[in-house]
Amino acid sequence: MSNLREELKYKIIENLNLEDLSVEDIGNNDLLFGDDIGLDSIDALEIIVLLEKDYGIKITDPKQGKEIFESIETIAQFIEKNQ
Amino acid sequence: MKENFYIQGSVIIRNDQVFKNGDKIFQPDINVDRKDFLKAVYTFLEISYPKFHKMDDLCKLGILATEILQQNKPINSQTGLVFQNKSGSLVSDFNHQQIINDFASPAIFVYTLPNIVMGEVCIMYQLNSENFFFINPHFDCNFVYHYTQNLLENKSSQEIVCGWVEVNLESYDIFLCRVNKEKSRHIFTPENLKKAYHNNE
Repeated sequence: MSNLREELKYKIIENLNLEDLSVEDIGNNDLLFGDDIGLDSIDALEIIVLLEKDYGIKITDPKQGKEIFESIETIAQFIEKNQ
Repeated sequence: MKENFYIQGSVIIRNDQVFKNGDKIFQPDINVDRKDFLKAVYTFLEISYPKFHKMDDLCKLGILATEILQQNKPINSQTGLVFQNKSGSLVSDFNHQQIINDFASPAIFVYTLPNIVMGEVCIMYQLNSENFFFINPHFDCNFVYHYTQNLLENKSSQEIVCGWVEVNLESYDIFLCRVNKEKSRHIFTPENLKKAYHNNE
């Protein structure tokens, strides 16, 4: 269970070039697009690509994005539900 | 009558070395690849701007050169930009083309325009002035001089950062200088611009 969360943190840091962050800096419930991690709209698109490329999951309804991408925890739950 | 403007400072980044006003200010101790060199300069300048790491090489070099130019005296929001290069956004174009048949990366795609470097500089330094990007086979001092002089004379900008920001797959060559009305030792002329560009070759 927690492996997926750690894996997601690693992949997000790698794919989004978050060089100032390490896996330990990101809490499972930290807000990815709020003050905690500070991701932007391009990062959101990168995460959409990452979900499709690495987990075979397509996000068809863009409105879902806001809830799914809230935190590592919500992304992990979405993957577990849809894989 | 033609107004005189002055070169306030210049920056050159080429051959893994950084020069400010003709003086070498940074060179890594060991040979490093371009990515590590850019990171080393970022660290040397003590910049704290996480978005830097997401940028393509053209934007990183534009940011680094501008940062050095404005270290002692920050540029103001009315500082215009006149940049020129030969290869446009070739590195990002190439990277985008390499992966487009698989999964295109939005983070690479957004840098497939050369003028994005000016956008990044404007965002980082809060500029809301004129900016122009020109493609030319070589650094055309006369063209950049006349364009810059014109913007300053027309008071479209109080100050201009102008120069050459060439980045391709094999190499890079960055030269930026700051021009305004404040008197300095170097009058802004095509000859002095050319001389400053060829410094440290």
